[in-house]
Amino acid sequence: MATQITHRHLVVGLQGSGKTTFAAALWHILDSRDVPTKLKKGKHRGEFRYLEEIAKTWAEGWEIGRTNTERSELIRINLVDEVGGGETALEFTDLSGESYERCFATRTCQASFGELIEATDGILLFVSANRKEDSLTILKMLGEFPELGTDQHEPAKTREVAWDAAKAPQQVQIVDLLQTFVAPPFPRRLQKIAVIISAWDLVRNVSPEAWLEEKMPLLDQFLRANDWISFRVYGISAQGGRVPNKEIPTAAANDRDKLLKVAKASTRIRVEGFGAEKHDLTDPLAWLSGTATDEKRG
Amino acid sequence: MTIVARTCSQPTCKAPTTGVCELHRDPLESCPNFTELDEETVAEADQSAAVENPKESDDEWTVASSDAMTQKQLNELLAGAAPQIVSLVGEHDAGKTTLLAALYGAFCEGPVGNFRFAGSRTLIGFDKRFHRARTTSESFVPATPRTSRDDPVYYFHLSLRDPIGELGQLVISDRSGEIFSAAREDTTLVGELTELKQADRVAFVLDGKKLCNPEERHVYIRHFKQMIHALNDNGALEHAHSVETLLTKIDLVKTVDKRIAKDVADFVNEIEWQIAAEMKSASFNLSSHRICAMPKAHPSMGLIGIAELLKRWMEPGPLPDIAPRALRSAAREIDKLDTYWVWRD
Repeated sequence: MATQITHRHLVVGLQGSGKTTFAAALWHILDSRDVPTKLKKGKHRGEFRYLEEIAKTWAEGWEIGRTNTERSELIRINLVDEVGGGETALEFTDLSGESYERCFATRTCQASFGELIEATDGILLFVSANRKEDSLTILKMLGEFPELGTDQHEPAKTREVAWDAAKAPQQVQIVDLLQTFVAPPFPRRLQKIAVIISAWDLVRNVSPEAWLEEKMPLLDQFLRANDWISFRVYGISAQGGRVPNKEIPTAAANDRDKLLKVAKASTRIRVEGFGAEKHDLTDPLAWLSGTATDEKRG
Repeated sequence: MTIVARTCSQPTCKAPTTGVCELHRDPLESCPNFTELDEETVAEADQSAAVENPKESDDEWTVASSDAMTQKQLNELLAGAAPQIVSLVGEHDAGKTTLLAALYGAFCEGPVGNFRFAGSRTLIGFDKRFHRARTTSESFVPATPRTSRDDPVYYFHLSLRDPIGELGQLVISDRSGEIFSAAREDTTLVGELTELKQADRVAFVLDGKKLCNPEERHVYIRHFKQMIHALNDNGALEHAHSVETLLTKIDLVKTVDKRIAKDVADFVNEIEWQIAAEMKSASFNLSSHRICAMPKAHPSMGLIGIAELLKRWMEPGPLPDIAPRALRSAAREIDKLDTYWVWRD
């Protein structure tokens, strides 16, 4: 009998936002069943070589490298709610994130991607805590370092710099994508968004919501100001710490040895926000698939 | 004008079908989100939407442009919403583009005053004007691109949530200062400033830097006043309920050499007073304001007057006059009652 999918969610995020590592950790935690999760592994058919490959790399404590676009198209993980019933499909249409950036820059998207958005109930939106500052204004910089504004930089005054879509701040690109998904030619309105702040192990003493408000204020305002969006913000460390690249294992200080000593690999995972069990990567997905409405933050 | 459709920009409001406003506005026309459309506007919007939002092919979809809006795209927006429309008027380099870029830049850092960013149809348009103010442009001097004389009038859109939770929309027009200079010198060109016909508010942008230059300022201020008179005398301001002067680059005015600081301050006060006096008989409200949108000379000064400006610009205009008109030639005496009430007033 064919699986009856009741909810479809889409993973969205720009390059390097932690989608692939999340996919690897989710596959491991569902398959190994070694920690309790709200959703369990659903029925799967077909080929899972790529998921297997990245889940192996993850479990061995290596960094999961840049996603090969050709190999990562339309990966889907099925999950089931054994208590409440219902099947959830989580679609990873573009693990590399390139198609989102192309959509922002060229204002076109593949029809197949558009159709996927039409069928989507909720979005798992990835942003990374491990990111370069891309919104800093010159005035702020000069406020802190006035000596940089001296005449030695005078020639820069006349330099015309063309706008580059790739240099637009990530929060601007993400807000634009979310707006795009609810405007023609997309016919449906997305209602639920779970924001995942990846590499959460790098953040100290701040809640995921406060982090979003401070680091991505435009996105934070956009989510708060629109009544049609119900959203939650989670901090997730899918690796549990810094891990090296397999090709250059000793390039930088890392937590690999410590992480490998953990008895159950699934317990490396850290999830923070909305009372989620600390290793349960499925909590945001369960919320996306749930029917309970959440209080809008003020 | 035949009304053929009614729309509300609030997705959940059923006013277009039930006549009951979600925000409890009565009459419906007083709600800023409610719009009545005539046949011509609906046809134009349909045509525009078909052109702007095609599902291009089976393989690829074209999505909304997100760049600055043209007049046609503004008309499409107006078919479904009733934004506050502000027209920026000023000579070349007065700071018009810098002002709207700075407004966007401020929202990128958090709420502005009590307003929260809820969206923009022109996010990329804003970003193109603001990107040279970021360190990623690898410059040490913040700048905004010059608006070319060859560019048409462009419109920039913001959707904002106000402190009491209402969603409002703001549209700001920007065009080359050289076009305004040309219209000042040849008023037959005033009619081509189409943005003024739709503007709820017109902001004349006064360049504070030029006021600090003793040689330049006298001609500059004469031209500035000449511009206001040229537009007013030729009916370009009669659609606006409010007109304001915006003194920009106040960081320079405030920090000019102390020896001439008082002179500059007095000069600015005198100009603002003169303009108010000369426009006393105009039909619109006139006010003067001072802002600093990009304090290049003194970065630590920060933005000045931007939150207040936004509050002013988001203020809805006066409610439409819905009082029944007196029937002066009515057959029945009772229908003439309005005439008596008007007469007694």
